[in-house]
Amino acid sequence: MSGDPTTPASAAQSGSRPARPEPLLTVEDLTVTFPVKAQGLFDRRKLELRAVDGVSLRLARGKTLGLVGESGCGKSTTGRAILQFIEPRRGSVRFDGVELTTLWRKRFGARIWGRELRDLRRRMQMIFQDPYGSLNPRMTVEDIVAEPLRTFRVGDATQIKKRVIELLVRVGMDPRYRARYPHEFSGGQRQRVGIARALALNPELVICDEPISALDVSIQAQILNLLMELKREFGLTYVFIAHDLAAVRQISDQIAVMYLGEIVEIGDRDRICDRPLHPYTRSLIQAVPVPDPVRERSRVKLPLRGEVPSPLAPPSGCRFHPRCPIAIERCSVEHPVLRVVEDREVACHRAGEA
Amino acid sequence: MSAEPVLSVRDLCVYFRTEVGVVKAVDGVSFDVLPGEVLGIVGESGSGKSVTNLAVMGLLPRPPAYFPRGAVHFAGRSLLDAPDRELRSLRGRRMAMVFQDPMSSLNPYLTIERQLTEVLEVHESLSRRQARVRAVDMLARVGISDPERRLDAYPHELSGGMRQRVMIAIALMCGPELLIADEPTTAVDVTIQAQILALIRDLQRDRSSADRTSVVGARRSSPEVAQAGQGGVAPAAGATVSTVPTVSISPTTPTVSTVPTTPLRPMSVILITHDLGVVAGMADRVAVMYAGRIVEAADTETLFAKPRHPYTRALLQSMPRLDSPPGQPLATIPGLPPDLSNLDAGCPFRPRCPLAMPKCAESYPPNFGTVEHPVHCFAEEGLQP
Repeated sequence: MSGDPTTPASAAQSGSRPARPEPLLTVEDLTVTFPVKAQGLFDRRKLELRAVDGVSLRLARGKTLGLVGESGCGKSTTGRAILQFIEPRRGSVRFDGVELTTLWRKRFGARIWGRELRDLRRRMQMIFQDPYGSLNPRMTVEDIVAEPLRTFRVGDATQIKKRVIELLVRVGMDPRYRARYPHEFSGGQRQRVGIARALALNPELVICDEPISALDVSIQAQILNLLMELKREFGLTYVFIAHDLAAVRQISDQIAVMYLGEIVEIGDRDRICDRPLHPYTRSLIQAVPVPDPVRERSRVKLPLRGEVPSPLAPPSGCRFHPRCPIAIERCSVEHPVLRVVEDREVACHRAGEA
Repeated sequence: MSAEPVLSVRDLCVYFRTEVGVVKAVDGVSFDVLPGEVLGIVGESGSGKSVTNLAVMGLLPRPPAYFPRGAVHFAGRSLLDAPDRELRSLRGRRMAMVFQDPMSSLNPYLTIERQLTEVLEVHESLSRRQARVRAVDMLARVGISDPERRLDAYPHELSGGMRQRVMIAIALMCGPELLIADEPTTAVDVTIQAQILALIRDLQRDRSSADRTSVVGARRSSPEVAQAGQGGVAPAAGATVSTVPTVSISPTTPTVSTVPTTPLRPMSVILITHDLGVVAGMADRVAVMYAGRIVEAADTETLFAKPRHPYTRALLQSMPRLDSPPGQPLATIPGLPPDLSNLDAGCPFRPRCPLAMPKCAESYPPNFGTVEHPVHCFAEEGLQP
């Protein structure tokens, strides 16, 4: 990786340099593949879908990284692979100095989490998008929030109950309702239960996977605010995954934009939002409607052509080039790598042109 | 633009009989849609925005739904008490709807062609071949490349964005005067949302502008051209249907056959969304709904520049924007939307309202704004509009 080694962005690329304190999370060259069957009736080939392809990032303690992109870009898979819900095909995930990808064990022919990985899970939690699908409908709210505490045998029954009440109060739920079932609550309240469950074990890293996408507008702001408060209060570190750039910008310190399994631009929040250098980032920003009719109607918009191609057959060269408004011939041939341009990293041949 | 509204809704109430009692999903909603206008209806889930429009389309099962009060007039006809036969003759032809989720509103067993041409066979009794020509034309108009080939595809073979384009094409096949788009972009990605919104806007403007000769093929404004008698063939389905000659590409005898084209009337759009950003770019006027009522309505510029209802203001402030200060808490609306089966006589927003006063519990506030900018809030009482 070229570029000035003194800029923070390039330090993120050359991961092993111990110049600064070890970040809480270091991801290098993370690649996740899924086996898929070929489409044809008699086609027995096994294809490989590369959902995440060589993602690298670093995240300091107490910071929030926003991961943005459209559906199918690999942002959720990246989040899951960081927590080792999925075993990465390649690459490294270091959490607080511990390499996670080597903690998988083989048992009866299946790959499972080793003991160390299971113990580390106390310190890494996830908040899911769908507050309907991620809470067991047959468990009460109290049991849902208590489950991680019981699994890790944190305290006796009285202590657990006390902790559950404390958590529910903290996320803004009335603890008197703790004997109720998820279906008795609205989407926003269910999301609060999911947050309480994620916080039960005092985690350090929380992956928030589209935590507000399924919620109503007036509830989205409540949940975003709650997540920001909790971060300050408990010194949490977030990976905030969303497709809504405005929400990501609100909560993140750094932003990484993903397209077809790759990070195309990563850097400081304000730099990315105020002066995007990758044409895809630019079109994502343009696509966010501004709630101001005068400004919205005067905005220059170049809607992207076409749709995201299949990750089974990604385009040659730059994966964005078939939709790119500024593509040149080189873009269809040569795959651009992330490089430092100005004050961020961007994977575009044309970034930094005068 | 004539002042005679295409659609006029007066004091519409839609209640549902349920096990937990009567749910007042829509409670006294009035609005007009003028020809060639885009009306945005904004609200959260449960605000009644979809139910209002399903009632307009006559798509609510009765029971459990019933209409205790109100009237809906479309093109001079009263819809709420119209017989099914009459509604069927309007739906798909003069008013059409695009739903949120194209995957579940397209029939997975039928080809795209079948789904596009069904409406023509029902309403315009075209032959299969004529209908196919129209379908190809319409697919091209909604921006689907290689439309001939796509006609033979099944919905699952298309991407989400393309399915939504097909939905729009189906809705526009007969050239409706009113298009109701119910959250048309909620299920698609942001860059696709931008494409779909631009498409709806272009189609609507195209249909509403005086010069309608652009787009694909020779499109003419209807009656005059029809009278001019293209190819000497009389229009097949009524006076509003114009005809264009299409040369069939047959190897032997190149014959000119006429296919009745989509009639070109100004099209009005009702755009239902929860996203204020979407209406800002699209709508001429906006109505904000809360708990089954329109709490405020105004032309788009006024609503965004001078929102008067506390709910409108709170909605605007609670949206994360690309220009709001990051890291700062957003303004929020505390609490939850009310239970519609358990509403009292007062203003349903008052438990969440920063301006609530004792009076708000007594009765629902009347309009303290103007006819052009109604505001239902007691805090606006006596204020200059």
